[in-house]
Amino acid sequence: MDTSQLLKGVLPTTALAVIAAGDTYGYQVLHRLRSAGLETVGDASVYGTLQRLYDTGLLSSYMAPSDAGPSRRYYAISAQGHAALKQGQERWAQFEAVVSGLLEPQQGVES
Amino acid sequence: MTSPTQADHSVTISEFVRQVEESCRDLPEPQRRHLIADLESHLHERDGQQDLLADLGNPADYARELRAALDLPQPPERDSAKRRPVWLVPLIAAVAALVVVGAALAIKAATDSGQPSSEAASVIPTSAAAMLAQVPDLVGTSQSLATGEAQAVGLPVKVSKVRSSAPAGQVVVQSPVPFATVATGTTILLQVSTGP
Repeated sequence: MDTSQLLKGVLPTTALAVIAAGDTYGYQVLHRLRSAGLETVGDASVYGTLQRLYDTGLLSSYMAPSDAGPSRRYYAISAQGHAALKQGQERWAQFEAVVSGLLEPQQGVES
Repeated sequence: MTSPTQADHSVTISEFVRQVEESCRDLPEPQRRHLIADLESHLHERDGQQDLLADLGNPADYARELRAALDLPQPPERDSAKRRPVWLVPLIAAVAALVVVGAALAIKAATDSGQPSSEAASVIPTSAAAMLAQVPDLVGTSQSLATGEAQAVGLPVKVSKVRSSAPAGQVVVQSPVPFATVATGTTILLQVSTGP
């Protein structure tokens, strides 16, 4: 199965979850997603997703200096973002249960 | 030719951003500007440890992924399968030239016969069609093929080498972008991979 299609649906929620754990910048979000196991997630996808979450008010942002080079744009989750994350978690749990049930009929079906 | 220096090994971040923006030139300017507003500072967060192209792929693919993430439509005519054959470009130019000549003759005939013609002012000089060329899509082809294709439509090329995940000798970046209309004789800048 093409993982990129699956990824696209969960990327906003997973990015919100990463930022909910503490303010951070784009490349760090990418790094956390990849090291958590979403190894195929692309830089452009994360950059685009963060921009979109910011545009829709789910994230706020501020600039902070960095040791390594130019200032970095840090993202923080907003109240709206927390609500969206909660909704995303519930939807995922529901969806995951339904799909798992369908994919493993032997364990789920009682005669 | 000398071996490439460290600086030649990859495209710079600002050059990469510029190419991404060019791949989005079909979008309205405010949207395009917004899209790349923070891209340069975002790419600086990588700490510059890894080769830009090896890490991120070519700018056109990056733009494609970015647009997908934002649910924006993909640019037209990007699939190589849909590429207009190169031989068609001079043919289109020739047909355009014939149409212009034909129109000029028709208007001349109309003017000679004493009828006023309001179209006369809009006639393009015949030479204009011959002075323009459409930039071929050269990314993904070999350096020699790309050079031949560009020269066939009257566009000289300038090649620089970059280190990239693409096979050695493959064109990874071009400027101007494919399908742009430029004056004949415009130099096409090609960045050719030296291999991973």
